[in-house]
Amino acid sequence: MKRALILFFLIVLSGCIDPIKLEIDEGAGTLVVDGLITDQPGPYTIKVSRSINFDNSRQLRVYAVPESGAILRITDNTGFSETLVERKPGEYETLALQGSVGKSYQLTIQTSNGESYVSGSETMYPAPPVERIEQEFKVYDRLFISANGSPRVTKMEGFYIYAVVNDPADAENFYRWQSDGIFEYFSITDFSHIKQCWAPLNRLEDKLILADDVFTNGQTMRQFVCVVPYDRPTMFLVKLRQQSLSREAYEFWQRSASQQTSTGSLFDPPPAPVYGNVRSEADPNVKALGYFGVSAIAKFDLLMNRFKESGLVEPAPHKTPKGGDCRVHEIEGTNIKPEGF
Amino acid sequence: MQSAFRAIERREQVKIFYRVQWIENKKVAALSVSKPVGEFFATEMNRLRLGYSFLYDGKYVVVFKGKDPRVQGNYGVANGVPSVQVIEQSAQAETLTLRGKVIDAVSGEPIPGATVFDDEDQKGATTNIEGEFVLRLTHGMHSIRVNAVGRSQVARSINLEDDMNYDFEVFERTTELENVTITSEGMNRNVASVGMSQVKIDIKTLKSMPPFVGEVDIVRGLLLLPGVSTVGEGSAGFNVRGGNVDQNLILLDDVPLFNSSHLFGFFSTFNPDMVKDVMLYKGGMPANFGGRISSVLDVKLRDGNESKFSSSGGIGFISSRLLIEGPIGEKTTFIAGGRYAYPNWALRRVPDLNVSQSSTSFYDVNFRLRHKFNDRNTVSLSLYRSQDDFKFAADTTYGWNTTNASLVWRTTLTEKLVGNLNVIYSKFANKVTGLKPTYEFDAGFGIDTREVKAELTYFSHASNRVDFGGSYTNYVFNPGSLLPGEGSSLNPVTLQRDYGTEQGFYFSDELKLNERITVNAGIRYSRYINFGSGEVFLYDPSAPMHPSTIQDTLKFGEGEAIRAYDGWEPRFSAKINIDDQSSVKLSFNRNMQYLQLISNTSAISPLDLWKTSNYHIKPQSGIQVAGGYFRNFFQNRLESSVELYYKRTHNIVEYKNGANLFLNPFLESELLNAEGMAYGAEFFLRRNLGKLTGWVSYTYSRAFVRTTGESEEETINNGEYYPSNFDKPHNTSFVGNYAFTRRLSLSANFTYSTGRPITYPTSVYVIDGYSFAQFTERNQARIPDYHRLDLAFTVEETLRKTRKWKGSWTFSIYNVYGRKNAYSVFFKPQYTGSQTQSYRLAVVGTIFPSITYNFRIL
Repeated sequence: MKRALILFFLIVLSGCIDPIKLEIDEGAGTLVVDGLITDQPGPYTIKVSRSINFDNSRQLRVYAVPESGAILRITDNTGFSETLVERKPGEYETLALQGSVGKSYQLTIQTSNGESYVSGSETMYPAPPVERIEQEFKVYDRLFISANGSPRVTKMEGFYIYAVVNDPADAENFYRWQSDGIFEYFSITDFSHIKQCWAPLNRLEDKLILADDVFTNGQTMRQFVCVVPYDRPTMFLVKLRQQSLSREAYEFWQRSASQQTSTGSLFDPPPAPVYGNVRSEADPNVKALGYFGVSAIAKFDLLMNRFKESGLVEPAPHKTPKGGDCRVHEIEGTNIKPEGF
Repeated sequence: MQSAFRAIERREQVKIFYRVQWIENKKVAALSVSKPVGEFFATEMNRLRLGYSFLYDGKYVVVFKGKDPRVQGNYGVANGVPSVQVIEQSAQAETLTLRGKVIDAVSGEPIPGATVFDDEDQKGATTNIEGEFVLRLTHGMHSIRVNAVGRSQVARSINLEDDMNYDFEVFERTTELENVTITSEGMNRNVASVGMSQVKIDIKTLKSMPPFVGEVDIVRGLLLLPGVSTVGEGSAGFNVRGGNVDQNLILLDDVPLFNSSHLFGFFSTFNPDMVKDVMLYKGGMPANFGGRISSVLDVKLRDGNESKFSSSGGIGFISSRLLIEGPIGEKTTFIAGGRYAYPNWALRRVPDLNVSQSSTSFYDVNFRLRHKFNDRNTVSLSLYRSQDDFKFAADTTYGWNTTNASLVWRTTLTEKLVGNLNVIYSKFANKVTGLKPTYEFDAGFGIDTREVKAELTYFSHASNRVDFGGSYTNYVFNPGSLLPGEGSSLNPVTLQRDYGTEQGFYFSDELKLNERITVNAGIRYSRYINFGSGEVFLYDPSAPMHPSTIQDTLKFGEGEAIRAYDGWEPRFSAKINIDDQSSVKLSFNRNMQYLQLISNTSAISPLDLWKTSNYHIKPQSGIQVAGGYFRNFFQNRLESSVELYYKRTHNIVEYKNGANLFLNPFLESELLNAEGMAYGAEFFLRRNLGKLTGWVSYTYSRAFVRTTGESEEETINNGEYYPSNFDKPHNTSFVGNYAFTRRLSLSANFTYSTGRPITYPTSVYVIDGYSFAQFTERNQARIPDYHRLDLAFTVEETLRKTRKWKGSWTFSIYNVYGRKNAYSVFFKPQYTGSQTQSYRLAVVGTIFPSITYNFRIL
């Protein structure tokens, strides 16, 4: 509710945001759990790591220390149980486990130094289907905080993407949306090279997109989920995933999200510890960071012709095609037509 | 001496009668010629062992031989030679009553708080709110001196043969001679009054302070006093001695205000032109005040000019003001003032669509009508309205407003019994309108109060004063509703209204035990009832409150009591004079508070919610013990004080981590019970006289909070004391005004304080590709220290009394050396997946110059 005031403060009154150097030598080494079981086919990955010191004077971006050699075990309420396999340092994978709606799951972790952690029992709630996706072409201002901390406003063009969902009236629902994209692009070339390519654009929205139905129970919700940039007049595939969350998981992500939107205004709530659902077995006051989540997923893909949808007479301005084989122009570029195009 | 006399005669348009041989070869003490006539004669004649007397409104001064003689009789001024009879001091002990009023000679307004002192009997009185005083004096001649804030001293000789009425007219000191000596209220009030922890600032002082973007602001001025602080620049409200913002009782002409800020807190809602004076009680509250536990800010508005119509106003960058006042008939006066702000032209220039599409404005209007039925009965009507509107980009509008009305009847029932009856209405409401397609809504919160209050003062004898009275307040709280617009996908939400009544009764007695000791002992009893209709959720007592732990719901019918609370509030203060120039004071008080502002952010905003004490939320209470040493120097020209205080507060509201306070029907489940502790030492040195006036203060203070919940979810920092959001141990300020000439003055403020506490991250971690910071203990670190210098020049266009139009220019610079004071330090990743960065945000991080033009039309 006060978010608007915050942005207002930030832009009008400041112009004065400076990064400051801080080195805090405490609190590192807390266990961090990051994993999600879904109703989609596995395997599922649980990442286990340790937090590191807050020290932004260090340029090297290492922000997680993988926790190797731990024994992870997932049990469901039907008695099924499975020990995970460490594929990469700190990344543990399930084998036969298949998540399904209505079941509840519990994770136990035995670290190599003998600590035992256990998660709460997480139930998988159904994810209501995404009815449709709506889009609006917009010229919008985007606020960047540059490396030196000063806010910079850039004019951008793009499509605001909204998920339309009929919220079920019989239950409280908590949602999270994640969206990825695949864009089409071309190169200016003769027939000796490949000229039509596709490349992925992951995580179209920087921030966590969450919603509850406290004020919209049983209604049709129209939720902003991401922005598709209008940088080329080509086809774009939006791949939307809508996750169901438990109340506890929603509250966890909501609190985490408040860190992303903090602007330093005095209208921000004070920063608070964000603990998830994993605790030490021996001492429940010792809590791990992160969350062991269980979600059903509703998918929705939308293929859009960006030039046509923009309604613009001319496709300009946009990134001009380069010459040669288009596959090398973008990261993970490919000439194999992806599913959905 | 003769030449001094001649100079005074020329300058003052008076005639002095004397015998040359009495003053031959007598030198005048340096400097004293520049003093007002009264003071000049008081010091010089005393030194020369000569008597003197002012006659015919001070137009003639008669000097005669012999120390401390009584003068009497018909002052024949024949041939310029006075016939003066010197008589023996009257042995008569008969007491007569001298009553009257002190009024401003120009505006005709009564002046409260002026001291009327008789040199002969060594007796004094202070004028009441209507400017009235009563003195019981012996038969015969008296030299009466009248002192009032911002006014030059007036001395009159009065021959008291019977009970008598006499009104004193005083002039504002700017219309006086050059190098005026400024006399402050009661000269030695600092030392002599029984009250402590009280600061009175007259509007003139506030107006001389450098304004921020040209706006004179009362709250900004208060922040320069010891013991008053804020969480950050531009945040609403103020904190007194470690108390929360909602613990201040803010009275605008006796009407409580529930929001005192415009534009989120950059400006306060008091129109400086309307304000007469401002009194802040940081402790030692008199028993007639109740309902808040930290402080009382009593803002008194002016009465209209009794003698003629006049107008004043000002034009600034952000807002303009206009005020008109005057008499309506013989017995009625009115005053009306308004302000309107137009900051939008500045917003349009911001190269950001969100901002340039935003708009904001505010206004406030005051109207006051006073009718005097007779010498003993006065009725005044005061109306007030303030409104803020703010539209952010194209999708949300915010508005909040205050509507106040009060009717006051002041009466003198007998010579010894005076009183007033107030009928008060105060309403605060805010509204948020969502304009986003498919999410259109109107949401609103508010508080409505109606109050009746009677206050009586009984002067049983010269050294004893009794105050007693009572009040009855009715509250209606609207905790919020959300109405979806047409086609909106939101569901309507309406939270049940809360109702409450508060009653208070008080009695206090101020007794002068002897020449040195005065005590004021009082007691207040307050009672609060939260009543229906309404529903109360009962939670499982063995678990933390949560919607999931509700076991039962209690239903209450209309008018049925849900929960009643009451409390005794003792108030005590004492003064012990060490000598004429110094005293020691002590005070103790306990206060109760039955409503609170619900806000879990560092600074409050006008969109926060006022909530009643109820079945689950207990009333707040606080006690304060304070002691101080007060000393004046150089005939009261320099006041100083040292005060120490210790405070405990109970049942203050804290919030669970991540609390959701917006339209939450289970609000109590997000709140935590906490207690507070604060202590501090305040050093204050103020100079009221001379070319340089102002003060220097230093405060060392601490403020802590501790949650008292049982489970981990219900505690913060493991239930241990942690610094409150506004715990700033060191605080220094300097406020100075230097008058170069009568037309040109320079004022400067400097303030320094320790940075406020914040919560720092202890480590960082990554989940789902996002990097987050881990926060553990609250408020264990601090933002950088704050300091700032402001300057202002004021130039008066003319000083001539005859000019109809008087203008003045104020050029001011806020934050002279452009320090980027940290408003906050916050943590967020620069972009997704990058490491969390720490940033410092400065709100007024640059130099802010401004010009304001003020005028008066007489």
